[in-house]
Amino acid sequence: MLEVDALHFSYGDFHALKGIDLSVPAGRIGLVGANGAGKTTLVRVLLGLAPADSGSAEVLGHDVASEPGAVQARVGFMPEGNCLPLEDSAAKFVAYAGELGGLPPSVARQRAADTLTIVGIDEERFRPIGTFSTGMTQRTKLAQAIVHSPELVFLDEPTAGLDPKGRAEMLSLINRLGDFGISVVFSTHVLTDIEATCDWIIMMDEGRILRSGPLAVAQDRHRVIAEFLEAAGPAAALLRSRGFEVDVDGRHLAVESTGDLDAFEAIMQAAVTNGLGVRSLAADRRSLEQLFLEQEAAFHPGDHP
Amino acid sequence: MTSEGAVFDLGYERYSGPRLGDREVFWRMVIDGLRKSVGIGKRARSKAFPFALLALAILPAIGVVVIQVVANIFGIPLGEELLLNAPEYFDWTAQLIFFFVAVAVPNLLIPDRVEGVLLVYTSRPPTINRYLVARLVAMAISVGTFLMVPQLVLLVGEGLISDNFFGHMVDNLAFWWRVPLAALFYLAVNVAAAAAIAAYVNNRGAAIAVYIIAMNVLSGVGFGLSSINRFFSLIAIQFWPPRLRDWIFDRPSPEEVPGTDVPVVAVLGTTLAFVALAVWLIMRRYRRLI
Repeated sequence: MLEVDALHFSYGDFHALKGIDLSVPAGRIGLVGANGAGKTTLVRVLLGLAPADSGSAEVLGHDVASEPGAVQARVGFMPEGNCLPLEDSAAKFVAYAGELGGLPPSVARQRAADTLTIVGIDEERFRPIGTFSTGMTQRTKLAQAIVHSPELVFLDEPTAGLDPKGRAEMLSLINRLGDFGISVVFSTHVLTDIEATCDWIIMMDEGRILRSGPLAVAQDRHRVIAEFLEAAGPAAALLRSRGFEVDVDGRHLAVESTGDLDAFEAIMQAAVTNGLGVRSLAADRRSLEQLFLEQEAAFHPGDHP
Repeated sequence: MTSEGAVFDLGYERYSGPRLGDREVFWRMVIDGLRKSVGIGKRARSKAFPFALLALAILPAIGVVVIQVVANIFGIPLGEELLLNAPEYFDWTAQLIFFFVAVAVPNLLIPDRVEGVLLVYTSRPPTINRYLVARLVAMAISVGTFLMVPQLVLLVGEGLISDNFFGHMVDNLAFWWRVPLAALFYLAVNVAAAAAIAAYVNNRGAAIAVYIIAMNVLSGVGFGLSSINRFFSLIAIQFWPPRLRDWIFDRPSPEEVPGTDVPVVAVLGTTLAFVALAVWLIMRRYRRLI
């Protein structure tokens, strides 16, 4: 879906993107990084709004530099800041956004009504957008981004300014986009939002890619935590003899999978062999925040003690 | 018949039907601009001003035709000075389009920019240049309507009360190129000035005020300084269109028009240079936004 090769972009002397390489499949993609990491700039380049200094980028099989129109006809964009006309009604503006995306006027009007209903704007759609709450504004922004049936939608900080309920509803809508057959690039600095919605993660820092890959793999350390009803020492000895790396702390065990050995199966066998009761058994998944900090530390070893 | 009902959430459906081409999307943008310039789809208050101006623009033409009809019926001879002709009619409509442009151009350009809507437009296939051209075409159509419709009313009305409608039309064939050409200069000068100001001022009220003040101050200064040197009259921006109109209609400019002794080529050159400068300033501003 996205193929990026040695992409550079500068604002004057400031290098916002420093040689980005990416290959990303269709799906729900999380684009994370601190403020100023280059997320919005990358999205703007991929949308064809800002021409790159060098390198190349393909979106949905079309080169962004030479075929910006072909890219823009197949994508939607929900900007971070204000992007709605305050005096127009949501129904009118979303229909017009559909027309700009190539929908015939009558189709655009019908789809605007349908799309606004899907995002939770019903009768309010005939009110001027200037009278909307933040939550309704964000929903209308999402509606204009998907009304023309894009294959991919870029969402730049879609949960910004929302209260917890509004945030949960927006994340639910983003999750539904996959069911609608729309791939998503979800740019945010809120890592828990990515954990709740995405299956692929791109981590950025200072204009570079720290990591790009499936979210499940990124979080999986092949580490299993077990708690026994009795002291875990005998089970640990058995597991070590089978080649596992094991940390013991009283009734707790942390077992690192190595090679093809299944830590879950091995812990259960060790418990049976030693007559131990198992209280709990779970994979030790890193939070995205831990993962991001690890990647950042690896990238800037001097900045972290 | 059943008393039970069910609600089905059909959800989001992908669209796979025909899509508009670039040209059709461009005209949708022009139509959007036309609606915004005359307040269609907005509160009645927004529509009142442009439609009142349009009515004021057409009424004298209707009045002139009615007077001629009545005079014909009662056999009253009418002096030429009582009747408006095409070039003189511009003096009336120019005042109206000055105020129409003052309000319509900021309405057309400023909200899209200040409210961030441009980002939505340009993330779609239309480019920023297409957006600006569409806005310009919308203004050209609405201002052109102000300038041309009264002239057509005058021409057709006089044709209808003449003995030979088609003969009258053929006799006034010159109308068909002189009036639009003169209208083009009124349109270009006013819209270029208003759009260049609206491109750099973020408040609609302020843009209207700056346009009205700038046009009047420049015209006043040019008029005042023309007694020192006739070429200072080239500063008087509001007098460029009437001077060019008189040149197009091949008639002497009235005494109150300053710079009548300045070669018309200088007025034409200044007008074209001004419009080119305004277009450059607008493009420069909008290129930086995207």
